[in-house]
Amino acid sequence: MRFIDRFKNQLIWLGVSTLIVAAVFIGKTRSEQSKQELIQQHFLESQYQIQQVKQNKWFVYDPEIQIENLLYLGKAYGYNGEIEVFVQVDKDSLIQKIFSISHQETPSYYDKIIKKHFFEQFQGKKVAQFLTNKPVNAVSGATITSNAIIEATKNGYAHGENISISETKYQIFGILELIVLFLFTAGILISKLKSQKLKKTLLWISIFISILFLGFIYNQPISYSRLTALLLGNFPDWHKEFYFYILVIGSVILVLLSRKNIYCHSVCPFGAAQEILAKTGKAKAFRPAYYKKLKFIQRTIALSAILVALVMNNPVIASYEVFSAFFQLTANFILFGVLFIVIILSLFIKRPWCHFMCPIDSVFDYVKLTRKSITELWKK
Amino acid sequence: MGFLYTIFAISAVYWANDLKLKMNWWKWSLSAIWFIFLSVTIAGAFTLIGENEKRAGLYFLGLFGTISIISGVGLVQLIRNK
Repeated sequence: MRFIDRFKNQLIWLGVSTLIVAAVFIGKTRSEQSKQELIQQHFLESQYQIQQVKQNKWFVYDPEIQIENLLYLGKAYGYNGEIEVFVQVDKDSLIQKIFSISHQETPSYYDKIIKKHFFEQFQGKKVAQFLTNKPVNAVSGATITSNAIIEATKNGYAHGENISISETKYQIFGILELIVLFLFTAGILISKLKSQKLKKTLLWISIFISILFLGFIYNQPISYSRLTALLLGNFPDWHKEFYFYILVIGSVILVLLSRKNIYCHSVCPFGAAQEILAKTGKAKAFRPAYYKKLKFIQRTIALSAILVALVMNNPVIASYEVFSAFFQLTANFILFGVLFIVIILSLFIKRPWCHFMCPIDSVFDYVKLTRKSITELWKK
Repeated sequence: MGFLYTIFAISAVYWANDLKLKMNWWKWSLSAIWFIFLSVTIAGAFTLIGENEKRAGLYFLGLFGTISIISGVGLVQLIRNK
């Protein structure tokens, strides 16, 4: 009993960490099996004669209608992870069909692609055109996913035909990186400054910049799905999304060094939105006697959602965040309902989402626990 | 509907008096604009639902209804404190 009391924090940390590692392991094993099943589902051996030509290229022959096609498997990084597409090309190098066999995109965004008939745009296009330009239009509101599918088509064909493609050059340090750095600097200053007036001014500047840029224009908060994607080993291209690494690594380092959750307090755009709502309704802090129980429920739900996502190898499968619903008006009806409740509560209670629902808050609690466990062990 | 709106407008004056709100021209103007906005939101949403555009109607009600509630709460704070 004494041992449990003495090492309580370390035991909780160890338990949570073990669960996460085990879930990643199970998820990775599952994914290898299901990929093979997916390929067989799309091209039945009883109907087609399939011959693998290269690692990502197949020769497909339909004896009934005597049609010879080539099939390329292309990959590219989308919003949460890799998108894999099959590109079916006829002997005149015209695309017959394109379809995705696996993706980890947020369902509401992927649904937009389907509803706007994005895949149909590829039909009849010369596949070689994708090497030099983008012959199809990205779907507005799902640009990252659209571009990833275009990129996957290009990669599949280039690798299949041994064509070397020049890597697209991205501006590594752009406006988004600058904004993230500014918000972190402002967050640190807010926690250090003594002048209340200056603190308030800086906080409101941060709130408006965060909500406008990280929220409405770029919609790039740290989300549960992106964090689970990282745990699953889906690292976004740092040339393209350097801000994301600054955001995640910066937030974690600041928690480890200062014990303060700068991200949630002054960087998160949804936190900023709740601040504005709180100001509108003159909201008050909500600290009931059962506050600890509510925090426990919040952390349990967050951990369960992360574990489910890791086991299923799908970062969005148990997503319950309302960021897209608020900033992009893209979500299902349940999430819109949750958002409505959160907005109304935010008018009367300070940051209800952050304190009682957000999975990211629980993630940073875990980082704090890591720090606490290590420092306690060090002192003992 | 015109009759109901007239009752609303007259009642609003009594309501403001009962709540001891110090109303002036700009407070009445903002309140009227807010009430028109709320009416258009409800009318627009239910017209869409009635025209078999249930999904669009619900989205309309969700978006503009939420904006109405937020602006309503803000308006109450403004009227009370200024």
